[in-house]
Amino acid sequence: MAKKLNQQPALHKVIMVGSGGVGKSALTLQFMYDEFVEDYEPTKADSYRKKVVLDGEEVQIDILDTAGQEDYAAIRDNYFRSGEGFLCVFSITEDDSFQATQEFREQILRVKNDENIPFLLVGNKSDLDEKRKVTLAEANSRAQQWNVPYVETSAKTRENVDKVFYDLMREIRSRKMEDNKTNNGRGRDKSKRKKLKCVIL
Amino acid sequence: MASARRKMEFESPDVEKDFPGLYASESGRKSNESDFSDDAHERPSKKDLLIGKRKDKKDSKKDRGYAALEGESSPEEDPETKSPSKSKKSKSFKFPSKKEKREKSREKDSKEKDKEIEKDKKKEKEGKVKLKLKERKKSKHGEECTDVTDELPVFGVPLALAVERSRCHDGVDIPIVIRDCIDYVQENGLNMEAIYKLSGIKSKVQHLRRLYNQREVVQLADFEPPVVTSLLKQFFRELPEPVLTNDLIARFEEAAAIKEVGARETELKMLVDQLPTCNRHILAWLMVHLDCITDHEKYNKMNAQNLAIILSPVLQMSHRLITAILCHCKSLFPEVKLTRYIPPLSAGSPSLPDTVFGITDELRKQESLLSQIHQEMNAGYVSKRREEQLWEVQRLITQLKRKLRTVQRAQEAVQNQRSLDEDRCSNKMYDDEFHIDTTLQKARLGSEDETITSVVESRQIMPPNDTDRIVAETQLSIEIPSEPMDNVEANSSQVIEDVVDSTEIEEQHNYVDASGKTENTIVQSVAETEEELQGLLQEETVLQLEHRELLSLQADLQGRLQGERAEIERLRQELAAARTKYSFSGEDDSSEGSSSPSHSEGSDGDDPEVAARIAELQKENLILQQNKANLVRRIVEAREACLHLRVQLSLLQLSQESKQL
Ligand SMILES: Nc1nc2c(ncn2[C@@H]2O[C@H](COP(=O)(O)OP(=O)(O)OP(=O)(O)O)[C@@H](O)[C@H]2O)c(=O)[nH]1
Ligand SMILES: [Mg+2]
Repeated sequence: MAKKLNQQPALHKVIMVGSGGVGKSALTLQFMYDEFVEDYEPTKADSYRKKVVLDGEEVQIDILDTAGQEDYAAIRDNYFRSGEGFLCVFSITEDDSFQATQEFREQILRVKNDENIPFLLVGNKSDLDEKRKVTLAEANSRAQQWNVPYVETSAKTRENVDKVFYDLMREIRSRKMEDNKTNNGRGRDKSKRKKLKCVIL
Repeated sequence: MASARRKMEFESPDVEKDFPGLYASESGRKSNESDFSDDAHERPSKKDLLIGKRKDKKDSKKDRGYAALEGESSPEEDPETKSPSKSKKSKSFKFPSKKEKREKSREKDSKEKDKEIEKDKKKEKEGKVKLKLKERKKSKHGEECTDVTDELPVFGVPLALAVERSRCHDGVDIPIVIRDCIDYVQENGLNMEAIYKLSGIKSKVQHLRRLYNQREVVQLADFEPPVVTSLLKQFFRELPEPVLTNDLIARFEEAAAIKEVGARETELKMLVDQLPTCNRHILAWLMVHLDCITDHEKYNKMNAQNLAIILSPVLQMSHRLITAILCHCKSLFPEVKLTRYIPPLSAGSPSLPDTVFGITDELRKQESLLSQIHQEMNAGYVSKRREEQLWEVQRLITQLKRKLRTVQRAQEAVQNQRSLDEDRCSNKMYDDEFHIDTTLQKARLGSEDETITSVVESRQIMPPNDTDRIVAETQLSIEIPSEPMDNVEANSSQVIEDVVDSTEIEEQHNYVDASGKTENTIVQSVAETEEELQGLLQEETVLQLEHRELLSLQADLQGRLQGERAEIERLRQELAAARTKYSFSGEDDSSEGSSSPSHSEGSDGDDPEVAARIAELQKENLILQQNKANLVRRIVEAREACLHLRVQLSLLQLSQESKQL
């Protein structure tokens, strides 16, 4: 039983946030099923699980795709609380969505109470460069200010789609390893130490 | 953006609207449970606990449980929910603190309870606002153990709250614990001697009570009948107010004392109708269930009198009242049919339902479960387990939605295929008619401008690399009408333009070529009457083709229209048949009972199964109609595409033939 337990892949919980229509669902569906839907269907909330290989290690990713539409904002906190990492998405073609990332960032920090929570700023719809309203410099400077990476993606062409999810998972993973270390330092949890060894192997 | 900012604030006033009863608290705990009470928390800490508690102290254990989940969206087992025996081991009883005891004794005065509930609700609301503010400043260390059991129990609270907290997700509004107990006895206990008379082992009863308070999925099958019946009795005993309510209970007693049977029944019925909905529901289910037990008296030795003696103190009703209600049970609650509760699937369930109805039904249950989870979380009861469940239920919902879409699409495809087959048949039919038509057409074919335009239309569809051929054909057709010269010129230039348009995109040099050629040949071809004839023939073919396609399209659409009407009629009849078939058992609106069996109308209501069936039929009808609409649209689109393709095809064939010549 204990053996079996150690073989279980780690689970990383990712939350998609951002204004309505920026492409959170499109990114998620592209990552999950390699599909792109042209039609816009506002999300209330959706959750997905996928097995992936992260740097040679088999892990599971749970993705929670939240509502950008304010109509569904009331239930967002409950999801934010349980997220381990966040992809904060805006559309490079819509300045409002870029401004809104500030609000989302604040809300996440409020709920998670952790400045260093794994977090990526994602500028989506990079395929629509001719309609760009948010400059690379603007976005980069905000990312720097927050001390988070900035990546531009296209859910349509799949550009950087895998990258954002994998990069975030790496951040979550290293974050968990850190947490485990501090826990072990206190010598509190033996099972966690075992798990950690397994990860190192 | 300002509005977005406001809405994104923590406190959302919409929450309660979306989740009624969200901030509802309980107050009327009874003291008779203090020996085993799990309510170890003190009043002052309640406020603290209301804040976003993230983790249980048991978290480390549960962490592993979660990590142990298997596979991509594969069946998962949560050992804690799956096996009550396991969770039993992991739980230790807490003993009530002094403060709690004090609180409990304070609550003895039942008259003031109602007011207190209201007050508590308010307090909790206010408290929440303040606490949420506090939370923002709180450090990570502010994580304490919050247990839903301590703050939102199911036992010992007003019935309406118990129903809210222990919800059956299939729309029957009685607490799940009572539903489970009734299901259990209906299945395992009807023939058991002295059922309800024997008491179960107290520790087991308390264990179950605790599991239900914690919203665990409980397998009652693992327990003996006396444990289960004791649990049911315990629930009623702990209710702060009798099921028949403080207001009405005396009048119920009076009614039961009426000698004349008819008058007694009328009076009882009138009183039952005055009960709050949830009281009426639970009374109905319980009494119909007890009535079933007396039906099996031969085996279980329990008649109405025996049951009345046992349950009189539990229900706070006299023997006479209980026997009277049991005696009139069938006419008091005619519409109640005990149906076994099938809980929402868990992620560990082997497979999702396959039919549209099955999926929508399951979706409804999952959505109900999800909103309950949100409700409890919004009230501040957050544990790691709960969060995991939230993601899990959400994932199930997403899967169900995706599956529903796939199934619906598959159904459409099947229907499309069917209609395509039909098309083929009808096409053959029209082929015959068509021959007559074409001869007529031939006769009518003249030098009308129409001819040219239609040719032009068909050309535009052709791929650009065929431009050379198009040009050649254009030359032919342009020459046909010789009388109104202006017109011809206008048309011919139009043709050239069109040709140019399509060429332009692909190859610029082709454009020059084509237009040059065209100009030349226009002049040349005036004399060439033979080619003129050929052109006519070609046009004729094109027109014939288009005409044939359009005719069959029209006929098919008409056929479809008829089919649709017939289908609607058939569904109507089916619905009517279903209604009349069951009409003997119900006079009130049959759709009413579908979500929550109503006991109000004073008439013989519908059997809930009939109502459910009717609702099902209506839903089916709706889906069918939607599918029809989609189909028609698709067929029209497909037909149009077909038409163009066929014309193209025959044009290509013709031009190949002419090349060979
Ligand atoms: N061209 C282009 N369109 C995109 C891209 N990503 C999303 N879209 C389109 O943008 C629209 C909205 O995308 P969604 O993924 O549904 O947006 P969302 O962020 O999930 O919106 P909410 O669910 O309301 O929060 C859809 O019509 C997509 O087809 C992209 O990378 N490029
Ligand atoms: Mg979405």
